[in-house]
Amino acid sequence: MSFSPFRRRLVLGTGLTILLLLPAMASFAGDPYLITLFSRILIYALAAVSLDLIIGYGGMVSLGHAAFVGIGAYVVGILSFHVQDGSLLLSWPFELQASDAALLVWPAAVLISALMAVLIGSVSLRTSGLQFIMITLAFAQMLFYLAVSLEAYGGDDGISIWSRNRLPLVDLSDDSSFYYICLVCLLVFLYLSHRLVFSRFGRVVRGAKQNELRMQSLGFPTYRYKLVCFSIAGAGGGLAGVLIANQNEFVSPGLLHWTHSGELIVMVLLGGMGTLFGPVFGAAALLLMEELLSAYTEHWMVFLGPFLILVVLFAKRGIYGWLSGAGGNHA
Amino acid sequence: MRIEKSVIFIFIWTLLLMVAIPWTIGKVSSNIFFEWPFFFEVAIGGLLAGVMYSLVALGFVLIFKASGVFNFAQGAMVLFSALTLVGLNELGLPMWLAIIATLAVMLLLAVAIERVVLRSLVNQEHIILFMATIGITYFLDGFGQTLWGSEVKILDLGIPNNPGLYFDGKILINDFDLVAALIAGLLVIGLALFFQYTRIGRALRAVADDHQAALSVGIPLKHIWVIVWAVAGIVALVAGIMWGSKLGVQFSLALIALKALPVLILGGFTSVPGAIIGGLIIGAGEKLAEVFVAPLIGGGIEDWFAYMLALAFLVFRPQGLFGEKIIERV
Repeated sequence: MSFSPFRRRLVLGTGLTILLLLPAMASFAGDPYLITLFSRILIYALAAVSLDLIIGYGGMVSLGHAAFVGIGAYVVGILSFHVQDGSLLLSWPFELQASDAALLVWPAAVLISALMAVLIGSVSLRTSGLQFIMITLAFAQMLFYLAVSLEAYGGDDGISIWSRNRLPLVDLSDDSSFYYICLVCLLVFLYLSHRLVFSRFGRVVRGAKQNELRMQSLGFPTYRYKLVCFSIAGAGGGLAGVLIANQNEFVSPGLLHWTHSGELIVMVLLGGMGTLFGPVFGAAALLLMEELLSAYTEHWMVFLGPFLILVVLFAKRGIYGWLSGAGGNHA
Repeated sequence: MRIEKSVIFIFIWTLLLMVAIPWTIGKVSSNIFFEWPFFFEVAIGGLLAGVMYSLVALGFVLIFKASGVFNFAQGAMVLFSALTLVGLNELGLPMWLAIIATLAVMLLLAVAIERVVLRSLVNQEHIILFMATIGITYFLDGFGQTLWGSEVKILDLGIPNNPGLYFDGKILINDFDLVAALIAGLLVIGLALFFQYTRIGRALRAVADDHQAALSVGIPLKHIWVIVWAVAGIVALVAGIMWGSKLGVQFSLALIALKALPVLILGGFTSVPGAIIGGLIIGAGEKLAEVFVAPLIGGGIEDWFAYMLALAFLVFRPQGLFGEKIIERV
């Protein structure tokens, strides 16, 4: 494998510089829409990185990751609905006031997503491979229909959020500060994931991907390790959902739909499975492609399909692997 | 085929519950109507719909059995074939010619997929092949709609679509459902025989087991793959015709693949009989639940009931009712 740390640093450095300077560039170019677009890219990148943790490192291909994004988003949506309404979130068994304080809502949303991931994972991880794909998909579909049937919260139409969550010192309703918050979330999650992957825990999970039986005979309870990994990914997805809800100021069942999960997988794949930074590039590639191509044709997927196949055939480490010179074989 | 005792056990329990739960609810609750002819009417309607689910599920099973690929594009193939058929028909081809032309298109598609995608991915991890089929899905969805437009089209084969009375006028069954189920049933039986008893069928199963081993005993992998994808294309076309004339030909046709997934979980991915029985159980269970259980909990249960049912089965048999035991190779 021709791998050069210099090239890798160059690619990452360039990427980071672009992301850091983007709001300035957008105002220089006089196109504030760029900030919105790139906030979306950052948020989807976060979701894709969390999915890559389980796909690329854990070998657990989940086709239901949008469920966690949706859960995170719905927590924000439902709470803001009650804040707007002035009604209580819970009146029984104890009274609970809804809130729109980010420092309260966001951790709660992430926690709930993680718990749901434990629940879904504990059943799904009884299987592996194809069955695992199907079962995660089945769970996501069930949650999708559950969201549709939430008549109190808009059902099919979803919930409109009146204002973004409140954060001390930072005004989230300002697009460029919101952009930087997204960037910080992504960078923190990337850093944590990086630490995780190269920790003892990460090595066990990666070992279980390569040969689960051997890890078991070494005495590692792989099921538990995988479950924890799955719920960390769920938490990441939940955080992405929180950010999406805040950006769009709108939550709908569409967020949980399986096509959404499919898109996240595509991002991971385009960027490079098992590369951590890859999915960021994948998310940027997919969303920019959608943005550019949908100006020409409504059915822009007609180009995405062949592009995806080309990546699968020729650049098995994805765009990131290709850029940083680590393309070629699956390692 | 050897059927395990536990499968028969689960199967009988399922049947018992399907009868017992509606009956009990009918006895207990006053606002739910339960009479035997009505029960059978609902059950038969469900079974007929179930045959159509089986048909879609079968497309997945065929490709998975023969190449170990979970073909994400099956739903897109259903949509693409139906769009092509209606499009050709609108161009002025008579229906029978349009059907033959669409069959030819599906065959071409199979050849193209083998040439461009599968051949380069021989002996790759299954997940890589799965990813490639996601690419095919996007392409087919976009291509079909670019070519033929994305508005709802009507597909009329002239099959009578009116309810008829059977069994002394006690049970109402839609004629179209009956015809569709009959055609689907014949196709399913034909394919099952083909895979079980012909030389090609055996070769297909060998390929499914191990690409390299099959190659080394002289089975031409590329021909086999073309055949399987072509057969899956034909199955997709039949499903597209049936569902298309029921629901209209439109994008949501690609989503009926979702209806097949619970069937696959329930029946097992590697089993043709599994797809059939699974489809029937899901079809009947779904309709019975919608009619007898849904009013109790406020309706709208049909959409997710199939998934609930499949997950419940999963707890008892992770490999599905007829699936091969999941053996981890070391």
